[in-house]
Amino acid sequence: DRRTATMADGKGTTCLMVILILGNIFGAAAGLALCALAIWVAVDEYKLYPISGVSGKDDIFAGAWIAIFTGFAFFCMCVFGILAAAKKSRALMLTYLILMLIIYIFECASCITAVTHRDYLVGNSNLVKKQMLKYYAADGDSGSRITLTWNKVMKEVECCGTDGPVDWIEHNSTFREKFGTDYPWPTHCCKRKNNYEVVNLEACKNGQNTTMFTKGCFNHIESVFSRYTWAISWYGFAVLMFMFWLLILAMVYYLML
Amino acid sequence: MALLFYVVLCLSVWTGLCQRVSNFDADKNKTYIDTLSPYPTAFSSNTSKKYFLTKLGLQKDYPCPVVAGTDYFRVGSDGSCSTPNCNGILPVGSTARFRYVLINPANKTVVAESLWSNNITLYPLKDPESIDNGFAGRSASMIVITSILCSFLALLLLLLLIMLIYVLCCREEKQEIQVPGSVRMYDTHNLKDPSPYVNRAYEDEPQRPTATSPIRLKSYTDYDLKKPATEL
Repeated sequence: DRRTATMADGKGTTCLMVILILGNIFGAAAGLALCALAIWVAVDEYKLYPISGVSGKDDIFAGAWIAIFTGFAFFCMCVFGILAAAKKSRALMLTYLILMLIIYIFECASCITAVTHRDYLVGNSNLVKKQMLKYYAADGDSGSRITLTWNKVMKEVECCGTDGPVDWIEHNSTFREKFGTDYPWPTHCCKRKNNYEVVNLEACKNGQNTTMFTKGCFNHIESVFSRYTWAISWYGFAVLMFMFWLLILAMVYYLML
Repeated sequence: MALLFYVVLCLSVWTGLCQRVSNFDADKNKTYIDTLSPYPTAFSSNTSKKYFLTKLGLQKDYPCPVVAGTDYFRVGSDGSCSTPNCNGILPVGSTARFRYVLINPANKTVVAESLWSNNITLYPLKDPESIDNGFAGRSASMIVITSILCSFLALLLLLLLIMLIYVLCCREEKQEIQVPGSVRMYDTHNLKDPSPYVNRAYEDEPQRPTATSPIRLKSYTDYDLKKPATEL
């Protein structure tokens, strides 16, 4: 009669069960928050997706999509874990352990992918600069998306070029080949009045810094992508660290059952 | 007498010193100076004079600037043009100097001139394909996240595997041996309750004959004293 044997350490099991249930409640909340944060990243409120999409290095957003599903899966599994721990069932605990491990693997993949691709994309300004010079004002789908994105960024952030307006005159570009040398940089680099009229076009063409934006846009682009990446990878990392200890406890509980 | 206003541009390719200043200075005293080196041929070959005159105009066409801080002259604002005295673009990456001259409109000789400006070096036009967007380096956070996550995942997998192996193979020693018929409980007879005693320890064993199931004798003869025992 197996029940006689386990009654001896019942107190320890109950204590561990309570800890497990509390841990699973916390884990469920953390998983749901991960899901919500990943949805925020996937929505891309700064509308900078074309910069990563055209270059093919858009796996920050792939990491976000994986995190949406793993976050929600963590939530569901933690609720299941509460059930399994309360019922003191070996079969349910084993199912819980194996499924949690699978979700753990996917979440690891999401974190690592997001942080690695952030390094490719905004480790230094070269990739963004090359893409801007090649695709701004170019024909085709990529060209139009990049042009619209850069126009939006230059207007809202009040910046010009990647590291500065000098990028446009130091390098050859599709823009220069199309529009000649009369406009050294796009007119979006010029300061505008509230009615969207350029303040002084001739002075802007000459590079007078009171009539045009002189800072580079790369700082803003880098900070946006970093913000997305830290949301997915560092928060995911925190959730995984917590889940690691929760799973260790669950394994101990399973052995005690 | 209305004087004509000109700008002269001179070009140098190798060092900061303007080698072609001498070309202009040599032509300075000739007449019809505005036609001696027209813009389209000024930089076209190695033997060209490498200077040109541009922006012809009377003095009244050049008033003092109305808005302060906007007095500038933009060289090359006509782009790639072909008229003799147009304001065309300079060759890429070159070093240039300029000066203002006043010309007598009758015989186009130089009447007065300013000093040469300092050297102005233009930006060399780099090919955007030359930008190396390959390996941008690894940030510290990427290394931390990747290494810690991979090692913890490996640890978790290992522990789960060890736990499963332990549960499947080595768990039997902990279980109690089930021996059929071992006496674990003993109930004493109750004289007050003369019901037939059933020892529960023997429940596992096959059914034994009890009072409820009497033994059925195959043959039975009434033991009669009169009759001698004939069978057995």
